[in-house]
Amino acid sequence: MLAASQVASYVTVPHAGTPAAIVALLAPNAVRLPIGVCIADDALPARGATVALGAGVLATSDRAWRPVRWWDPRPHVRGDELVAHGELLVDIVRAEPAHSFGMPLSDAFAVARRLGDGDADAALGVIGSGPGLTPAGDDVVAGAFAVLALLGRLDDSFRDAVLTCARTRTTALSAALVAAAGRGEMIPQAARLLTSMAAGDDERVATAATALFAVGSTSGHDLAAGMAGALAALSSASTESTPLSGRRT
Amino acid sequence: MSARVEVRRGFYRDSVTLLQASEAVAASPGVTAALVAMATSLNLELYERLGFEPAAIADATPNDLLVAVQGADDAAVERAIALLDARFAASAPTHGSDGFGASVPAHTTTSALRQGGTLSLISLPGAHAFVEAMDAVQAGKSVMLFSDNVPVEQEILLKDEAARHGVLVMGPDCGTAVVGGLGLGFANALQPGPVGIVAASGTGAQQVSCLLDAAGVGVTAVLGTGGRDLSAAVGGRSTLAAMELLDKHPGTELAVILSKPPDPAVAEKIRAAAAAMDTPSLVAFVGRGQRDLSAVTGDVLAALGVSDDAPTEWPAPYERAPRGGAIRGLFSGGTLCDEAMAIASDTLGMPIRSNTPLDKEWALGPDLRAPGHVMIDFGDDQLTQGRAHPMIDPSLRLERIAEEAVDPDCAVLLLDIVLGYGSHADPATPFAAAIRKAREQAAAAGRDLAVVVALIGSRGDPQHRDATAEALVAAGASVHLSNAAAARVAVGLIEGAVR
Amino acid sequence: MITLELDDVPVVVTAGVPLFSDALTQQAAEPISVDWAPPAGGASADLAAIAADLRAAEATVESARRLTTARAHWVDVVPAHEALGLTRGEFLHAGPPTTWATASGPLRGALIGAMIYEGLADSVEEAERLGASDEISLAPCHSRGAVGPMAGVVSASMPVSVLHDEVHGKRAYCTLNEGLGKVLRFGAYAPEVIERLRWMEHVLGPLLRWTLRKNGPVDIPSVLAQALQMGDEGHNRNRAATSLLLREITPALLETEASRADIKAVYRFISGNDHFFLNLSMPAGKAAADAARDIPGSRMVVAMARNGTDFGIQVSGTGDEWFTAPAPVVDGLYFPGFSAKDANPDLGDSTITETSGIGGFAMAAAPAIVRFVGGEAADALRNTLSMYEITVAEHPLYQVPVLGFRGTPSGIDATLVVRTGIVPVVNTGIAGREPGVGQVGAGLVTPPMSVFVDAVHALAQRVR
Repeated sequence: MLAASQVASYVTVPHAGTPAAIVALLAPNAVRLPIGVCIADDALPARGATVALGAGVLATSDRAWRPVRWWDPRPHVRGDELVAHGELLVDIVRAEPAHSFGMPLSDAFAVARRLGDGDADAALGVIGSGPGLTPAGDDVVAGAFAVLALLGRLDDSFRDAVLTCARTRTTALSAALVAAAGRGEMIPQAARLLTSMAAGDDERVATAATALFAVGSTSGHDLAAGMAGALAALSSASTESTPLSGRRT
Repeated sequence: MSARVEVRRGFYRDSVTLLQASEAVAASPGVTAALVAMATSLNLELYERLGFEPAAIADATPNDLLVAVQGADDAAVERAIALLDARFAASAPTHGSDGFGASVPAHTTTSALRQGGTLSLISLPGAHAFVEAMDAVQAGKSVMLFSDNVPVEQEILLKDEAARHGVLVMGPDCGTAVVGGLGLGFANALQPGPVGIVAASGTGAQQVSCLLDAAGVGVTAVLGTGGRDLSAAVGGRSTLAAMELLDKHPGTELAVILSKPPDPAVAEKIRAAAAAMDTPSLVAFVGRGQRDLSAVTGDVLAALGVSDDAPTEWPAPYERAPRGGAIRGLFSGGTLCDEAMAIASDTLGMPIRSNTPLDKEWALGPDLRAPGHVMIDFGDDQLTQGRAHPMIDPSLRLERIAEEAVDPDCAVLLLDIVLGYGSHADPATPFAAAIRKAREQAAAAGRDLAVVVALIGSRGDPQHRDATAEALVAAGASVHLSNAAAARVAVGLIEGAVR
Repeated sequence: MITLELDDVPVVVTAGVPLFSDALTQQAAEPISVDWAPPAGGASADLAAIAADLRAAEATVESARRLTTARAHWVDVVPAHEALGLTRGEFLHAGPPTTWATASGPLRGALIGAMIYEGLADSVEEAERLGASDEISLAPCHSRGAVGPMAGVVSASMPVSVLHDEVHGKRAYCTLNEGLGKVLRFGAYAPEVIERLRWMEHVLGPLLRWTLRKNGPVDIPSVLAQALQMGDEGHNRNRAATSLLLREITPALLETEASRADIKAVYRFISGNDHFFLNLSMPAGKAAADAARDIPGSRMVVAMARNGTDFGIQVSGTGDEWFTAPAPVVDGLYFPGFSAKDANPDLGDSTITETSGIGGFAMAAAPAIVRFVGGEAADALRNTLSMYEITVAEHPLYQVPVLGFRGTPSGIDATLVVRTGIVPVVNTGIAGREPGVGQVGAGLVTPPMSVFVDAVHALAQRVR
């Protein structure tokens, strides 16, 4: 058991020869992390408990948990439609007050742009920057990664470079979420935002953005910033209006 | 430059909301000046200082809200106003509970939807279902209508109104659906995957989706339409709407449309609509003389290029010799009963007596008894009046198993057991006990009673599919994930003797 | 184009067998269950017929829109013969239609007083003889665009307030509130009652008329909206609204060309009567409800009223037809020396406040009165919250601070009353059974469900 909160427990799963995977056990009212398992139970394993995982069940010495339903953490979107409506998200993100973000928006856009160009060093500079279980820098990288993965713009060696960096520089949970983002997997609030954008429906995009912004203290905003930054970088129309501070190395 | 000024009467938001809205509008791209405030004299002075036209608001009073936006062009102003409206909509208190004291439970579907519902599931008695379903449709929400006995005029009205509001009505008499991975009604725990299913038959959809699950293939959605949707009167209204929905859904790579043979004109319409879809589709009308559900599943897997080599049956724990006598099929799923009857009567060339007979001549009397082959759908309306569905309450079938055990005619018992949410939490325990006891009683009378079970369930179902199968096998049954396969095994045991 | 989102986990509203909502909970979903019960009066066929009337939902929403967008202003005070065309033998009364023979004690008392006031009779006996004859005629206030509290008697010489709603072009009328104690509206007809009526005719009415001319029209809903944030609910508590009104009109009152003594008397009269504003919130509600009348198919209640014998309602989609049942007795607290046996069955047009989204519907805004009507603060909240179950709109102007400034539940849908079994919550005063006794208590009244069942049946008849 790695960590536990009121609504989620995080379990480290060692694999022979590979870095540990993380599974989150999610109570009904928890944010549905892409690395999570829904359980229909408010009683989660306690912090520090040893758990056994196998045969579809996660068990401690005195009780067992079973996933109760499946969902697809990778949204079904067409890349061209997503890029075509990228401006919708860029505008919404820019209208948010600066203090909502854990990382300044201009920095987030710059990082996303460099990730879009395949520059792994961009991640090196920000991963693990910020307080909390998922630091703001990681959220920005995850947002950008998720979009790039859905659009098929992540090549394996670049992705592995970023993930290697994440494994040593940030919390294990956050590293697992960045890895999931690298597969195009994300929380439902982020997925809904992207499917609404692909549909080009302003009203739904605004509603979905509000829901995403409500996640975490700044996480939702930073994820959105990463996604918006990646889309801005990809849409040629927005090239000249992308804010570039470029001060990080 | 472009400007827009509105005076909104009878509109109230607290000052903090207005201040924040005003700031957000002013910060909106392309906006050069903006004021969102009550039309007090101080604010009117500010309004003029910002360069707006005083004549535009000559009749504003301090009780009115002033919205004034100036921007680089019309689009910028429009965007800002839209942003404002979205903010106001978000700040509107919906179901206030800032106070203290108990909240009041919702008494109508309309009221419950106001609390944030996005889909309505109705299982009220038929006479009351229409009113609640209309609540949902007119609130712009889709409905799964489990209720039966809803008059056909109401069904048509509901579906027309649904079309007008851009929502889907699944039902009436819709037993299963899976939306967003969530099972509604009687539903299996299905993994996400490429197949979207539209089905007029609940247990038919459960059979196909569970067989796909066994082959490692998941679904995007299972959308029920209700058994009457493809009748001449209803004309496939929900089926066509669901097909359109799947066609537009990027995650659905193959749409499967499943029904008993419908009205011919409607069948034609469905085939034409399927042909016009951008998404590949497969239309399967299952029934006597048609492909069975398992064969249709094979077609789906072939279309996806998936080879199906997962084991789909657990053989009986002993060698079973062919024997003479009758098959007694005791079913909880209507489509499963129909499928078994079609296979049995076509193979044996003999009548299968039933409460839901393939041929009117083969109808059972009210005592549900007859010599020879008999198959009973215990889920039929006549048998569920005033009691729970046999998928939940197995008592009628358990009684009948005990009766068949002492009937010298009965040589093979054929059962379906449907797993999933909504169904009995642990069917293995009562059915294994009943099967074991029946076989012992028959053995005491010198008979070898064969028991064949069609087990409709997914790997993720809460009843633990494989453990259920193993318990039934231990009691002496053979267990098959395919209902058609189970029926063929049952028929084979008899046919072997007939030959 | 179907908008069902296949990639989102739906938030499911369940109505029916608990099995299916339990199955959702097992899947870690959080369904919202409808606390469903069979409709009152076995009305399911009528409800289905109305639900099948596709214009009904929109018509009802339109009724509620008109109800909640009306902005009646107090524009004038004029004699009833001028405003309503009443002749000397004509009397209006509260509630659905009634006759002298069926009139309750307080209503008879008020009619006797009004006949003496109009000089039609010199004694009680003469008035009673006249009342039973066909020389006088009775009609409900509601039939003439008016409303009256308690007995609600209006006669030709009485000054009435004129309210005008420019938004929907409706006018509504109401007498001036007489204050507490021995008053005509509770059936009192002693000489001091008649004297006060004459003072109101000769001094109060004309001074208020001049005041309004000087001051300009008073926006009544705006005053009500503020008063709701100051602990009033607009029916049984009008202290804040009366104070706000007085603050608004006093400068103009002081400028009227009347004697200092008259001005002082008028000021004292209004300031000494917490319920003065009731006779303005009522016609404001009436103007709003009248704007919502006669929309084909609309299920919205446009009048609830009692005459001391019957409780009646009217519904937008069924025109002027009244649906009535015997008026219930109010459940509440009695003033010292009185008990339930002294109470007259429920009386008055003041239920127009609940009809228009205030009064009992806004009780959560007025915790100060819950003790007065017998209850706790939590009851007040629950009462208001439960009214959202039977209404189709939330008032944009009337808001409840403790509910996060949510708009009051407004626009009663008769079918929702029958479906939910929840009847409108009505806050009201209790009149003494005997003429002349006056108010004996206050409390909550439970309208008879049968009037809503009958209204639903009539609505269904119109679409069959």
